[in-house]
Amino acid sequence: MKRRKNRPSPILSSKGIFFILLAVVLILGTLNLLQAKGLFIPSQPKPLVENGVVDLDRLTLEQKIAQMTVVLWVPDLMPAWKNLQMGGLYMYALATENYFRSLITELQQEMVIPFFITADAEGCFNPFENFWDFLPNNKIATVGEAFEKGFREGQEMKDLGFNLNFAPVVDLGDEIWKCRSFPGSEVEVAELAQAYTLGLQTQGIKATAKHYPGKTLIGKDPHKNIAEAEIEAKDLYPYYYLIEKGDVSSIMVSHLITTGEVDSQGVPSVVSVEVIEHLRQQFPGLIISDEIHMLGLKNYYATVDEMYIALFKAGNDLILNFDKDPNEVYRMIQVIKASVEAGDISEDHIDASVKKILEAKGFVVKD
Amino acid sequence: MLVIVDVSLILIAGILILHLFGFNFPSLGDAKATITPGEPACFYEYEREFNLAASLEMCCWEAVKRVNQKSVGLYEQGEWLSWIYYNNNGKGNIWMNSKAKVECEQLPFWIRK
Repeated sequence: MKRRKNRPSPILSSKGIFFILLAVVLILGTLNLLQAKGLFIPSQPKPLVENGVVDLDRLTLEQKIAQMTVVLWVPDLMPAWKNLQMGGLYMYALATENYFRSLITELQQEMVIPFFITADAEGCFNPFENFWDFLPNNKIATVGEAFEKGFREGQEMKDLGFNLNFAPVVDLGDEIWKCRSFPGSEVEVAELAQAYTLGLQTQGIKATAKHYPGKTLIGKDPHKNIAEAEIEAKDLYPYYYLIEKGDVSSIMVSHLITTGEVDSQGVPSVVSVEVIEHLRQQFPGLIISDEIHMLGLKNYYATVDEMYIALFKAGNDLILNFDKDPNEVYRMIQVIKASVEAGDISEDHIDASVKKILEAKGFVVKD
Repeated sequence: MLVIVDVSLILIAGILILHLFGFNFPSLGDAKATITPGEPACFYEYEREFNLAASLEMCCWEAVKRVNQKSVGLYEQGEWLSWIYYNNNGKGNIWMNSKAKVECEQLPFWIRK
């Protein structure tokens, strides 16, 4: 007579436990991956745009703050950036023109408010050097050459789908790279930058004079993260020249702590209310922060939240936040939102910046 | 034997749950940055002239902008540079040593492997 074995239930067997645990780990791993891509960020409502008119009152505070932020293009993160309706995308080098062209077309699809598509096409190091050979700034000698350079770069960038260039560099005397600045005195640099700007902007690409208030290309200490500089009148000359001519669309502000002609009061220029307010009074265009994860700025604050608040509070219109974690960018939006609701950051300032951004994107803004 | 695997899986599940709720663990990159010896060195090379970068994170940022990354070897200005970041025209390259690379990997915008 056969004896029946007393078998344990398969669920409770050691193999069963192993498979359950394995399944749990796999599910949790997948959830972590989805979270890393920002897919758990709450879905944002579509902004309402009618016949090219945007009503600021009908944008949520999150949408306004997102419009004020330029993020790094990373393929996996596009659903998150599109959901958050970020103000712009920064593109780094890609292998071919066709890749850029098709990608940017795809990026802008379904965007009610299109992204600023941005790059650092400075001519010496730029994201297109894989296939285009632009003259570096240090090789430009005449106003005609500068205009031609701007015109040609603008034409090519427009063809690919770009609309905002973080150039020209108008810092004097490039000691570090030797090729980012135009050559000559402050007067020559200003005239060449003006011609370049005109050439670029005739093609519909917005130019950005950088890095206000100057002196960012001087300094050799690789271990010194919080840098200071004394600004002279000649450092400011190209900015005032471009502002007076009224052509340049935007100015980028650096992380340097400055004294002299521009005194940032012991804090990095990009978070100095005095520096940015002074610039705002003279310049109606977009004021853009340099990338905010540079240690010269970040090390200045005990927490990143303090840094985020200071950046918005200072009056920057566009913040370059190239953190590849969309959850952190979303958190920044929430931190700023809370700060606005608490009355720490003025909503009027936010509205004024968003109005400038939307107008630069070609919309009529109702406020 | 299976018990050891099960305990490991429970630990991994615990870590994944905590991570999902925003708890940040020290990463492998942090450990690498700590144990890699030496000082970081990152150079801009433009038309064969090498200049030591004034700030490491700016140099990392320039490296991110390049199309290609390659492991190489070059002795320059007293530094053994083991990584190059370049575009195909070869005019403006970024060179760094291993310490600089692991420190670049800690930056939020670093997208290279």
